[in-house]
Amino acid sequence: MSSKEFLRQECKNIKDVLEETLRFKYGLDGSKEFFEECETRRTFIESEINNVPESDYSSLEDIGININELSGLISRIERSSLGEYSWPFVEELKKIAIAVCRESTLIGNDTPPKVYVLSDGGLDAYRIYTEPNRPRVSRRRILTIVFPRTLKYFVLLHPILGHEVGHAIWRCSKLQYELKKIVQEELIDSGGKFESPASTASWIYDKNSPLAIKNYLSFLSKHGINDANLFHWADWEAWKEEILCDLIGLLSFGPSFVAAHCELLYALAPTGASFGDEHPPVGSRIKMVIRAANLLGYNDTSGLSDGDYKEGVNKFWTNLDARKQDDPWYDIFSDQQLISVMERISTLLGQYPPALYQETTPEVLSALFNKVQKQVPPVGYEINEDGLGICKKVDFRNILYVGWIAKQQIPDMPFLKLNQLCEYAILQQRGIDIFLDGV
Amino acid sequence: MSALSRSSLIKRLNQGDLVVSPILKSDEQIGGSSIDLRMGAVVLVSRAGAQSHLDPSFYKKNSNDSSGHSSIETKKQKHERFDIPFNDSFLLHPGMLALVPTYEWVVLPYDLQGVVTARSSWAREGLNIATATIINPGYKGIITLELANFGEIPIRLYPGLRLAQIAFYELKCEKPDADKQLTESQFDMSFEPSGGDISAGDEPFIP
Repeated sequence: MSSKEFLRQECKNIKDVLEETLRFKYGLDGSKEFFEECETRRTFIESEINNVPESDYSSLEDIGININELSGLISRIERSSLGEYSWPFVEELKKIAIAVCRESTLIGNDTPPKVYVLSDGGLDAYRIYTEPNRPRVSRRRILTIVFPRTLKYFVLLHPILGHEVGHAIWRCSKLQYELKKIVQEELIDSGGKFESPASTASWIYDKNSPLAIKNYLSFLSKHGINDANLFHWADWEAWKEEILCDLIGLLSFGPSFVAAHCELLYALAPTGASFGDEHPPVGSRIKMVIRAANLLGYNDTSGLSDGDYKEGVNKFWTNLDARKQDDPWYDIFSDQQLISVMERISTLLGQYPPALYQETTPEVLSALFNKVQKQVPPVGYEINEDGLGICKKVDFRNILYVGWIAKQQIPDMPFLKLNQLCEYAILQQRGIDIFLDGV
Repeated sequence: MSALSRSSLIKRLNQGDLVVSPILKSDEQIGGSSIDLRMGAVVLVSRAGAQSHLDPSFYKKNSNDSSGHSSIETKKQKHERFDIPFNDSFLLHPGMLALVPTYEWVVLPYDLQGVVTARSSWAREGLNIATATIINPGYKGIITLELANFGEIPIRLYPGLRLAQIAFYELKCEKPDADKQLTESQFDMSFEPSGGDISAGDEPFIP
């Protein structure tokens, strides 16, 4: 079988598998758009195979890459089943992704992506596949959001996907230029540890770095990595992207992102000292996000009335502060740099509601918290003395924030139950929103 | 034991010890002596072909080895689970039994008992709640509705529909403090419907 014949066969295989995917249900949006998008791409690839000469190895190689991407996409989608992830959370997340990841495509200048969701193994499974390579005929980007299977009910950890939304925005042509400009002007040109790859390497190999970092560098040196070749192994651009995505996560999910980010990153890297070829030191990332949250005033309790809620908010932020690395080595940016970059990202996200997290009033948060204390899902609902039920819209990100406050203030409630209570609240709140919109 | 009237229901809901949350359309949902309940977003249906027949002895055998493979497999494969988001639907065929949670979250104080029945408008269409479900004092969570289609044509069900109603009855409590203490610790929060154990407590009668 020649390469061309093999690719043609694989194209037929993809058609069969694509048809197989229609055996399953894929949520409210159905599978029509997804099916048609994949079939358009497949037909295009098939025609390319037919037109390319057997001896044009370069073109055949490119076609092979596109076929692989399509095959991977379809097999991931086939594993998408409503029962394996929290669909009420997903419905809210989709609103953010669809609002902010629009771009110019063959069918329009402001085309939203198609979003599919699936679960996968591992605590670090959280990710959004953004389709870096698509055939020219692609009519829209397909974003595949992945949740860890074991964390189905753990909605309080799901705000970490705010970081992944950041990667998705970064990949979307419409906002990429603006974001790169913001990072360059506010975090790079303004000087400091990220002024250049050399300055970042010099920070990492600073002789005053904490012992945990020195130990980690010693481990890396055994693999031949040192200050001179750090960014031959690591990708400085990827480190910048990670930092940006942490800030987008914070600004798109608010306080619940800070807690989820801290819990998950420390679960995977308890010392905070480790870093990877695409990720800067965990301790620095966590410290930056907590500092940025404080600069946004999230930890300000001066306007709150005394009581359990205020106590819970204080505990939440105090406990987060206590998990920060003390050593100033872990600070990456100055307060002024963080304030400036967040202002500009906020302005950008604010143009695509509901992408930017909006703080609600302490009264609303306090009322939600009281419900959790009574083991009732925290939703926008009260009943007055006349027996009149009053329904209100509440952003799911505030339900998640209240869940985290409750974790501090109601330690007897198991974390799983607290998550389930918040997940049920997001589902109920969706019902309330539908009801209010229909009235 | 006396049933709570509309004004008593509202009074208890306001006090906060009785919770039915949220009541989206309170003027219509709170009736003279009951509160309408809406369908939630999960459906459990017995999987045809999973078992040849229902036999309490299977449950007895499995309860002796509740963490073993066959016990867990039997439990997990007994029902097929469907997540039904709002505006999506589920078709309940004639003769079919489906376990469905309520959309509302319900918390009962130590001195109230709840009784759940079908709404008569739906019952007239053939949709029945298989039994009048008793909700014990102290319960907190969703209520499982055992829906059955007694009619001859399939019924399409949408989450959010008002299918059931719950009436509350005051209990005579000789020792309120003891009753309160018992009920507060008796129930864990319930988030989803699940199958029951038909052998529990009756083992001596099952070979």
